Amino acid sequence: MNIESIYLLNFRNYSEQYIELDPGLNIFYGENAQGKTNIVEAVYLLTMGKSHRTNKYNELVKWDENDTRIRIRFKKEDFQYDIDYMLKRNQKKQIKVNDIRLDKLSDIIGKLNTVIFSPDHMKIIKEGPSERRKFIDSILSQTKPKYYYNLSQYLKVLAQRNILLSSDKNNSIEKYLDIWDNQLVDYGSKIILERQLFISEIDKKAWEINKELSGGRENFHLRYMPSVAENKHDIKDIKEAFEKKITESRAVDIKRGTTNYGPHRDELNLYINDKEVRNYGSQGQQRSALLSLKISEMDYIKDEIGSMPILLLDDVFSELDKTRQGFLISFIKNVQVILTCTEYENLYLGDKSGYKVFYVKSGKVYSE
Amino acid sequence: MNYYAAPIAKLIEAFTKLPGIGSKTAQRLAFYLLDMPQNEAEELAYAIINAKRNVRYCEVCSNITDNDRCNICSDPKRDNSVICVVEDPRDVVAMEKTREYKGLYHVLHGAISPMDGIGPDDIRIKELLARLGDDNVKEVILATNPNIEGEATAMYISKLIKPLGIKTTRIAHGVPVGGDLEYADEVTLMKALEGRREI
Repeated sequence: MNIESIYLLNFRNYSEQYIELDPGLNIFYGENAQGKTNIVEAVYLLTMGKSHRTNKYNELVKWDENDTRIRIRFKKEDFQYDIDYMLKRNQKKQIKVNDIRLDKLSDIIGKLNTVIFSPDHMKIIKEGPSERRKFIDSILSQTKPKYYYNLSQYLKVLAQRNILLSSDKNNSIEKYLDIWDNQLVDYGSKIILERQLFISEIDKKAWEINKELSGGRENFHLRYMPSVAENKHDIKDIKEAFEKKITESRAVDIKRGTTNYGPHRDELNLYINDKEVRNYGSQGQQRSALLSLKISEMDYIKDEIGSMPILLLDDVFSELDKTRQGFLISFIKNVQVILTCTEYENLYLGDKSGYKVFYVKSGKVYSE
Repeated sequence: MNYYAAPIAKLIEAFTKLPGIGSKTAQRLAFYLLDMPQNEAEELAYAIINAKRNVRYCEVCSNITDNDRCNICSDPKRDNSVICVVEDPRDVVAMEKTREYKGLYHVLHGAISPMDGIGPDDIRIKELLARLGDDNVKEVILATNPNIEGEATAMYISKLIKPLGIKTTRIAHGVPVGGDLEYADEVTLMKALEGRREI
């Protein structure tokens, strides 16, 4: 899969910009705050239907304009697609695929497939479990529409249940919990099963990549720690265990006014040589772990959708040392890459020959 | 601030409160009304007052009606052994358009949703249970919306009805008839697969 062109109109600091990309490596360089990340953001926006940086859509519209448009033309298995994203200040967003308007914005997910890697992703390694759940959810949502549906339904049921729990502590809400528990268990169990399968896949891939990256010295593993139904691998057993737990924990849930068990409390632990990377890994090990996860993510998406996703490297490549840069470069031979950096002379590009360089300055892109 | 004479400003303001109408449309409607012949404008005003005064909930099924009992409940040809439970009077209209269903209805006027502060006592479930007291009713069809609130409501009602020994059914989800399978969205197809049956 590769993007042929990007067209931006009144997007962030761009007035009007047309960019033709190389099917291989594309380097955008320039000072900070000139608009490099905005290009990455535009591509991500058309991948997931939402920005990776903000929830405030008005920020995306150029400050003195009202009408934003992004058009991306890309090829996926010999088919050409045009995605148009239209945003007016304070109005509903619209997305068209090949000039046909989508009924639901979430239908965009899965059309254009990308893997984004920015310094922010170090959070996956260093911070709390919600970052790792986000990592899992964004990949599964991109590759499995069913997962996205189950997850959003689960979160809706969870919100209803939590409001019910917090609404009234003395009265008899217990009999009203049943009708939500049933759906919570139903959607939740499907999420747990999908996450299980996903993590065992990623675990195999990341282990292999990390082993190569560390010259065979490191044993990198991912372990899924579901909040309920651990070691259950059949949907029936998961449901049963989840149902049991949610019934048992009712009193606690009512007392605390919130739902204490379920996929929204899942954890994913990362280990190198049996030690938790988050607490005991060195800086270098943590970086390698993240790089392995990101490369596995690409490989997983490729396996699922049958074509290689586009890699977005936002300000992250220059952060890697020569060895890791070289490793990544060797892996992305057949991948389209959009890479941003402040200066590109010092990048280690190995024998990578086909690439395009763009200079970005105050909302303009100059092809070099 | 006041560009208009007070009565016009008031009219525009009243239109703005309607769903789907912004200030521009409200202004257009107001001026259109002013240009209308006197009798037409009065007819419209009367239609609004009349509807508001005379329309109320049917004493049996809570559908909207201008009598004590709605047309469906007072129709002797309807099968009074089946009750179809819906969330909204508009759902009754949708079901009636099928011309297939010959039973009665019960309109809940909402669905259980803690987020919106709507509990089981805030919708017309008690009225439904009261109707099941006599032995006429053999089946209750739960046709609440296929979203989480509709499902929760259906489940709540079924739990109350089952002990009474009345057959309780839930409408199926699936692929729209007359359309091509390839145009159905993934979730609808997935639900249709889950609810497949042997032929």
